[in-house]
Amino acid sequence: MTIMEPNAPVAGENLALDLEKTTESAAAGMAEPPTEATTQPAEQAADPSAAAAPPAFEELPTMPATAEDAVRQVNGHDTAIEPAAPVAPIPGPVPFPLPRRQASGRYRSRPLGYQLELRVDVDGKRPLRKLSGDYYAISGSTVTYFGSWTVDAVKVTTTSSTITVVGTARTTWSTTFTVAKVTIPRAMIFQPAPPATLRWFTSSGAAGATYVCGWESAAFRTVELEQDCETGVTPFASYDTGSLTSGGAARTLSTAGAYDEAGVQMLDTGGANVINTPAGHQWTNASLHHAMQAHFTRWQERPQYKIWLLHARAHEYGTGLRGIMFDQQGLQRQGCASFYQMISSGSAQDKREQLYVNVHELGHCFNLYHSFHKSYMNPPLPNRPGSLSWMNYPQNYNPGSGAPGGPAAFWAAFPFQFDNLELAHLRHGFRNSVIMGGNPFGTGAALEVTDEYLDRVSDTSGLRLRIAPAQPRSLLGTPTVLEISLIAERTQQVHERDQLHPKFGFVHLAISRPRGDVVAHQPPVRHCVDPELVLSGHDAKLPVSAYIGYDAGVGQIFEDPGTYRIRASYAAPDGTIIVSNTATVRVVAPRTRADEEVGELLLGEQAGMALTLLGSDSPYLAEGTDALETVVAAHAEHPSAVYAQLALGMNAARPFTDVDAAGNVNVRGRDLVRADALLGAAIDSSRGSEGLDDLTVYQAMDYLASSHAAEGDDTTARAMRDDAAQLAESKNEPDSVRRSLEE
Amino acid sequence: MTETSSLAVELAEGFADDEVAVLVDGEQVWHRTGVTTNYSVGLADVVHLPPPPHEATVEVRVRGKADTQRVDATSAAGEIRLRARLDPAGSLALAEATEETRY
Repeated sequence: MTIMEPNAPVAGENLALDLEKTTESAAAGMAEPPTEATTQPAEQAADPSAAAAPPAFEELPTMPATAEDAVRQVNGHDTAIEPAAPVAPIPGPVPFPLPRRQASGRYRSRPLGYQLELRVDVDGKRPLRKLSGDYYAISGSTVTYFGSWTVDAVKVTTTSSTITVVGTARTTWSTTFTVAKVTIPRAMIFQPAPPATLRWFTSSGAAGATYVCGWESAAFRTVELEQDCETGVTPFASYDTGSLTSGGAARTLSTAGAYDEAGVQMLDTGGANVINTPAGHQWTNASLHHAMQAHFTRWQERPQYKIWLLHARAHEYGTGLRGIMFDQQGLQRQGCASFYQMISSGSAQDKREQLYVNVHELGHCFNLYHSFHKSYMNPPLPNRPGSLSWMNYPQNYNPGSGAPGGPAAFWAAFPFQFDNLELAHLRHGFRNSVIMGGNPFGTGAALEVTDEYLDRVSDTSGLRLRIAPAQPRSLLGTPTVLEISLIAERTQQVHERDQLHPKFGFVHLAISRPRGDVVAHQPPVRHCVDPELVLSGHDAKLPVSAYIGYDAGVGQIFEDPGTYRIRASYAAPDGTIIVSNTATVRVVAPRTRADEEVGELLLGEQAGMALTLLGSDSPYLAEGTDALETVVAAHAEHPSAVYAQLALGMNAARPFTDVDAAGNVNVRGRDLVRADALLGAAIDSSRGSEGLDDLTVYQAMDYLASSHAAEGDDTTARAMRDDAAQLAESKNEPDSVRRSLEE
Repeated sequence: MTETSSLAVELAEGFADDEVAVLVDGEQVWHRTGVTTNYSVGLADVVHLPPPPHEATVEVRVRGKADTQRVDATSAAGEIRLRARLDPAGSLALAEATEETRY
């Protein structure tokens, strides 16, 4: 028997019996009333047939599990702890309330098959209410990085004796044990820091592995910084942020101090070399890389939390260049440089600029992109030009909404900190997205969306998500419809087919646009529903079609000619995130006068909303409805007319309830004559390969049949359903679609 | 008549292991493969060229696309700077620019 992953019951520490006495159910942190969790029997956890069964504590060798461990040992911090060590009692009576020790920080488990670096972020400076961790697999004397996990939102329960933190994790490997529960005894400020106990559960409450992690540091990460200096350059030391107007509290900040505020410990390794260069020397990226290899004493071609920073004078790119993260060869992001040529006067402005440059360049080494370059990352993210962050350019600062931007506005409001999304990356990004020498620069460079859309290192979920546009190449203004299909390779519970529409929130879309931004699609209408789960398997396909042209945030999405790239993610019931293929939609410019007119009509904001709602009588959407009416009346032969017919026809097929200003309720009944005419035209135009996509056609036929049935016309309803079923059969639709037409 | 001291063509965002050529009046004056943007500064390279002695057309070619700008070194003082960028969808734009502070 081999331990396959670190969350499973047989991994971690054999504390099942001890914990059973004291640990509440994971459900206690998630739902009331609490129920007793099933704990793993000790004999199973200690199964001698398990290749990685944890040895007795006494047998454990003391060894550096990671580079970070080695640093810790060099610095004399021994983190070995006894499991679940009780907090020492406070001697004597305490006459006044004493401050409690903060729970946030970094903890580390003993190397029992796996070693866990645990990060708890629930109190202290700018708490993000997250948990995260990195697993290292221990095999003999070798230590290998296994994977990372993050809980993006936690529930924190604090009692007089413990802090309990619970949430569902995203992981870099596939596991059903995704619910993390961390328990930390509360301690007074002068007491030793107690350990944190992490226990994994499945979403149904079955217990997984347990890790008892000793307190290591208040910092979420520790990085070694080696700094060298070019001849004649005085490296930056510190800046009083109160010297000039700013958006934050006045304080004296060094480069390391700025990172300390972010929860990252920068250990200056000292030994600053002076690199002699001739007068007028200008660095190139190649010469900087060579200098790093020659002077960075701890440089290795492997991932490690170590950075080299060169304080230099000038770069060949010109006087405008203040700094660069030049290391983009081999394993990247291990070195950067600051250029003092134009900022060495000693003025407050120059000191401020020096602080900004040094923190900014080191930020690149942590894989942070500029706030206005996020759309160039892999995968892309929306740009954040209004971010008051170390990673924005003052001159590019644009808070939007007509508020003043540019350098004066930036510096006046800048609090000398990273923004929250960057902070989340620095503290809780998956290890390879953060560590120097990990992922190439720009890959996985921000936590909040990136990791969701990254290709998985391993995916054994048995689920596949496929997306395809109804029209890969379409005229400007043509409503964009996406077919989203979930394929279950092996039998398991998934959301029922209709709930795969993005409006239910289980499927998310990111759309990269030709104008350079990325839209994290927010459907204008959201349906809050309880998940309806169905058993699916044997490669069963659950397809749904969704109009995605209109967005709650940006309005019309596909409003420029060019190429759009779309990617979807699906949150499976067990918390697994499935990422789709990338679909491409190419929008071409109008070719005829009619194309222009139809495009103009359908790209109106109200038309987008009317299409989303599949028509409406609302006077607030009158302009959009009029646009659809104009398309039907004046451009009935245009290929896009079917979309207007669909929306207007669906609206006619259902009643509309209006509440007037006096509170009177007026109900407009179904207009099935109009619905038959409009939907009939759209359906008949789409029976072949043209017009609406097939799933939308079935939906229209089914809805029209239901409307007739609701009006007592069962004969017409039955005929329409038969027609839909025959059409679906002729097109060899999957069972899930055909069954839905029989219901 | 004023004198232009230099002509610089910045290859900015969007380059990824590309083969890039810069032409002046149709004649190739610079060519490189493996051109890749360093997003820590938003630059792949800065091509410094002697200022043409007359009004000229500067062209950047990449991925089968080309864009041009007319420059007149005889009437511009100091440096003429152009910036070429590829947007995420691969569209190329070459435009006049000023040197900006980069970090």
